[in-house]
Amino acid sequence: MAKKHDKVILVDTTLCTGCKACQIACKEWHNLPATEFEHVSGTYQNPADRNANTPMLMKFIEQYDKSTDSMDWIFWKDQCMHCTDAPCVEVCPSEALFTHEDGFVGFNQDSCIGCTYCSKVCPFDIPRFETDTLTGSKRMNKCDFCQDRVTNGEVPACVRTCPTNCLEFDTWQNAVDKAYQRVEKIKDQFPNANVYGDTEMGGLHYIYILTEKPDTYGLPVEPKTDELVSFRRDVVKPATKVLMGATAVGLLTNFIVASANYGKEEDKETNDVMTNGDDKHE
Amino acid sequence: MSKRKKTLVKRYNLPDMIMHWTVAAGFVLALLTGYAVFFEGTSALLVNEIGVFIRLLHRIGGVLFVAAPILYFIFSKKRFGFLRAFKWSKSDLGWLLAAPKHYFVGGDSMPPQEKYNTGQKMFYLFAVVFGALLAISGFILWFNWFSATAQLIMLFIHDVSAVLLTLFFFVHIYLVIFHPADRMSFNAMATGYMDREYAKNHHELWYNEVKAQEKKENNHSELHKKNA
Amino acid sequence: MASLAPSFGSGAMTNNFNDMKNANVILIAGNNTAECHPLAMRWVLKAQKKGAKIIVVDPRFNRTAKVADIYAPVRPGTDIAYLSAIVKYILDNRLYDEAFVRENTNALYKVNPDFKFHDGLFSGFDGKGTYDKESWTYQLDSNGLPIQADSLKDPDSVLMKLKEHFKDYTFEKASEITGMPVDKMKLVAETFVNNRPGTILYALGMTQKSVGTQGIRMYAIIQLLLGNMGMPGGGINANRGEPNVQGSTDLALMAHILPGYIPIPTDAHPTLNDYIKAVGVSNGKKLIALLKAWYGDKATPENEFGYHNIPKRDSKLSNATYVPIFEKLNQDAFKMGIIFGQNPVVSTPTLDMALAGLSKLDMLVVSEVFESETTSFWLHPDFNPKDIKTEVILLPAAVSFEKDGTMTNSSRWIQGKKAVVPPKGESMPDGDMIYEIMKKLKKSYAKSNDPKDKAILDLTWDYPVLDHGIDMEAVLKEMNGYNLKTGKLLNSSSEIQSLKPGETSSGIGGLYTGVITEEGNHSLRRDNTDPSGLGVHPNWTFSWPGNTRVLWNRGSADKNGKPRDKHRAIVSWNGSRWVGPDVLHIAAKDKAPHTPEGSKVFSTAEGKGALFRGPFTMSQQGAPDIMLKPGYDPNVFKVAPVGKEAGIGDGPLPAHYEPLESPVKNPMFSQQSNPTAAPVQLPEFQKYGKAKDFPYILTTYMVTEQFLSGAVTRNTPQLNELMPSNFAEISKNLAKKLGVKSGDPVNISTARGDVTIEAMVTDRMQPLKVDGREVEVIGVPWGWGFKGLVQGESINHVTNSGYEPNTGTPEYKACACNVTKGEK
Repeated sequence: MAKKHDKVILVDTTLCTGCKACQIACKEWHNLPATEFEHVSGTYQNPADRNANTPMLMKFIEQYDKSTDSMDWIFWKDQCMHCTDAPCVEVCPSEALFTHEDGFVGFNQDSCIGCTYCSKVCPFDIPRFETDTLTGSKRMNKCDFCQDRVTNGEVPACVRTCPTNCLEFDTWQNAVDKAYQRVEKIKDQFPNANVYGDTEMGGLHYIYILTEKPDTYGLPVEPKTDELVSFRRDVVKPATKVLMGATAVGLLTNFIVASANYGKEEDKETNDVMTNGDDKHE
Repeated sequence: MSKRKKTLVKRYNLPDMIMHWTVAAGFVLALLTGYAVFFEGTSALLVNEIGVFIRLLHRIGGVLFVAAPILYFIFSKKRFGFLRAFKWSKSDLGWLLAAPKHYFVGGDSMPPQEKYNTGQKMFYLFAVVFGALLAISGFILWFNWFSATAQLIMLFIHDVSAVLLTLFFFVHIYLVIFHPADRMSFNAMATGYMDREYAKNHHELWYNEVKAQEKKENNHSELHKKNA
Repeated sequence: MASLAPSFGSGAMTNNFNDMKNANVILIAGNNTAECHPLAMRWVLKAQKKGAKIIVVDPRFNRTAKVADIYAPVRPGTDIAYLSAIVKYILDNRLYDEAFVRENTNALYKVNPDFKFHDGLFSGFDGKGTYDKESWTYQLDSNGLPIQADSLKDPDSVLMKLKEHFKDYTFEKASEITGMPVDKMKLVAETFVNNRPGTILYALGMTQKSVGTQGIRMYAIIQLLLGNMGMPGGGINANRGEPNVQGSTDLALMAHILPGYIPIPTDAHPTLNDYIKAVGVSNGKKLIALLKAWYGDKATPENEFGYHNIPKRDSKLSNATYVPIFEKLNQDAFKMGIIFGQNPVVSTPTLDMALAGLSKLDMLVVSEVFESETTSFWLHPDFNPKDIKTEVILLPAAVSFEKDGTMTNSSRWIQGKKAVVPPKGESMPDGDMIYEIMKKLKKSYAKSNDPKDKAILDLTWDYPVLDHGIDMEAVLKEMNGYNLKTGKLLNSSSEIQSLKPGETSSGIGGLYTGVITEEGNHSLRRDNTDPSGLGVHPNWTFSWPGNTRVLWNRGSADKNGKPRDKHRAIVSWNGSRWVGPDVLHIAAKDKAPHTPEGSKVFSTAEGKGALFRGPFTMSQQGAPDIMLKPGYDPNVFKVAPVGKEAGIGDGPLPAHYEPLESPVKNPMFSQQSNPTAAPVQLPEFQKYGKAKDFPYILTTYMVTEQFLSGAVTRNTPQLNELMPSNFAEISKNLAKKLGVKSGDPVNISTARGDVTIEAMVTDRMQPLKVDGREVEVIGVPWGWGFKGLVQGESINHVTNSGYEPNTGTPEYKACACNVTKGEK
């Protein structure tokens, strides 16, 4: 489980006005270029999806209820959720992904080799890669929780720039408590309001106050790690070592035995040859 | 009969050897780069460009590993030669029974073997089955086909196939390079020729076949001479 | 601000951004706060988090509506109808704050019995386009003061005139006009009335209409009736869009005023005496202080303080507001134009008129940060560059981060700042450009004896030049003003009024006085403490006037000086003086609440909030009957009026008129649209369409990601990625009818032309039920053009150049159009 004093970003979606300041602040702080200039039809969301240069994206969802003539325009901030039980950290071969002491999933992009394992295990489909013509993918990119800012006493860039205090930087337990209080308060207006992130994946380091059920946002209701991830860690890798060791032992045994018998066999074989009187040895 | 033919017996053609060594090179390349990523410790050294380069080498290895047999199958007349690995006989049973004692205790000569002994057949079988799995899963991973879950399953298959192949590969290397007696067989794949003595002792059934063939060929050529 | 000033005395956002958190209800109508003032939403949402209700009234469900408690759709240009229904609801149910209305408004004043309103026209209409306002007056006593009724029920009283005037605006009728469902409208009315204090946020969504001034007058009337004026969390908050647009209006980037909102002299005021008699004592003193700042020792009583250096406008012509400038350009009135940081080739309605106008110039100088549609207008796709004879010169301008100076935000905070980086290349701050140009002018006129050239030669032009340009603090000091006797900076604008004219100077007529004193430059203060918790922040920069944060704040206290709401005690009388976290506005700080000086809440001529706005002159009581010396005589201040209010050109009370171009026939009167709207000057451009050809309504707006004309933002890749092209928002209903889906092109045509833009089909647009039928509204962001890193068709090619008669603001928000499926 997430620790009480872990750092966390609390997202109160009721206060979001979809201004995208966080999206651009993220880009600015990480010095990422703008690359997508093709308008996505029918929405204010742009680009259509996260990519290596846009690790954080504001998503726009429209819902209209004709019977009550009521419109709901949902804005939410989509980026790495920073799981406590982070499968990406488990599978990352180069330690580019790691669990930071403050609880979030840190990311050292210089160590990333682009193997894409993280993207195969992420329950939120977060990792995005720079493309490489030969190997398909190069370095991955995702929200790194502004680890450079956070470890130097600053709040993440998105939180710093949010004009409406929709984003708050807090400790894990505080944020979860605040989230539940807020959900209580808005239940009248949003009967489906819920807290997302306190139980998922051992506790996320993004806690969301959602006005609708998670699936409305395209969020997994019960995100989980594929069992193959722990099987690979707990069985395949140790077994490999054991089997390799056993093989080495076997081969060594054979080497000793064979070496000891080498002369003898040679004699015997020579004798055979002599007896048979066939082709001569040279 | 040349001097060479006197002491050596032809075992492999040039295409056979090219195929073998290409597969070997590809496999070793992929093996080294693969394990560099698989094991913590080595993997942490693969920062960024080095890591991407290693992954590129891994793919080159993979392509060689797959391309060589395919080309061989298309162009070589012996394309169905691999089927020998699937023909098992009584002698194989004998080999299997005798092998543990032979390899780990010593003594006891083995029953006569065909061109490929039972151990080699088994290796061949593993190489074909797990090699295919390795290649298929590898390409699926490379091109990111199907869902993330499918990818994860492919990764599992890739891992397990690689590990099993590696273990057999170790044995293979050991026998042809380090084993006091069997390392002689290395020359066969290096030059195409096998020592007659070795062939007679280790692949007796095949050696007899070859000898019979040689005899026939000799008669044939003498006949030709006469005619000419 | 042409309606707030006549209603209260001066026009600006009455409260401030931070103060919105004190509101119990916020009506956002005519302002897309979330998209155009995103930071303001911090305070709006703080209020909401504390329980305040947010009401958004807008033709489309925008990003502000997303966070609203109540969203009510409205047909563009018809706000007055539903607001009138709210006023009727307040009056019929006597929900007004009776004490406030009695004490602080003109509700009891008796109206001239000749005042009439019939079928959409007020009494005094000349049948052509102007009103004689003679009958819109009060009944006056022998001293010229308004006669007050004994009771609010007196049929002559202003309040009863209001009740009579708005009696036909039932919720049902208003719904028929606006398309806002009756139950929604009732909910808006009840919510706004029952939660006090409430504030109203508006911006260009309210002003860019042919009835803009009267629309804001509706807000003034509602807020006066509910007693929301002067209260923390109340007021009328005009959200100014550009970060320094308040500063630019303060400094008179308008045709009808001099800096500090001093009325501009016309040929009707040939001498300074005439001018002072026409504009009143206070404005007269301000003008003299202004002239002293400009002409220094060369401004003397003998030469009327250099009054004749100021060009006098032709009083027979209307103000040269935005559209008239382009009309006159097309009529060959100008040879040369200078544009600072404006992009009219995107932002002018009926763009062809602007393009044709600019190409009539011999020379156009544009100071701009990037090459814009205006700096490159001769490259417009409709033009052959060879045919354009205009010489265009681009002066590369520094951006805000490269300039020292101040920016006056919408909260009226004069915020000083230092340059962060030096200007790039040859670019320089606009101030330095103007400084250099004037230096050259002075040089080239140096030998002239022509009296009119004194305007240039006598001008004080001695700003110290620092290594990165002129010293902007010296400019701020000039605006703040000096006591010329002592040579010290003024502390308060009251010194301009109390000292002898000519003994003080101020380059902005005292509006900013106090911003920089002998104590230091207050515009640089950055202490954000807020002892009262009411968002006053008294030591954060400096707020005009006199560091007052909430205008008309005397209104937050009752007649005894006690706060009307103890949780919102911003000023109060402690028995000997006025105290509180804010600086008392208008009323005298040392005068008891019952005295005339201590009870004054508003600074209109009559000192009351104007529910009914007719002309009124407050004469000096006991003015001596003396002959003045010609030109300027200091005695003019003994005879000039104390205050003067001219009234509003299109009526003392608002009425519902259809937009100048509307597919709907006015359901209220046979008078279809604003009777005082200016006639068409350029029939070849300014065409109007018929309802049968153009059955839909087009409205335009801005999105968060692209700012105004896009001259800066469309050259910023990071922002372009967020919003890379233009779109036309249409309802699913209309899309189905046209057979288009999102991403398909649609052709939008008006009488002025047509544009093809990608459709965005959305439930956020819904057809409105108007007058028994469904009316479709099409929305298109306007800030697109043919230059910049991303480009798009400019909707202003088809918008209407008809404008509001008082302010000249074009009616961008409501045009009649047709929409068809476009060609790819």
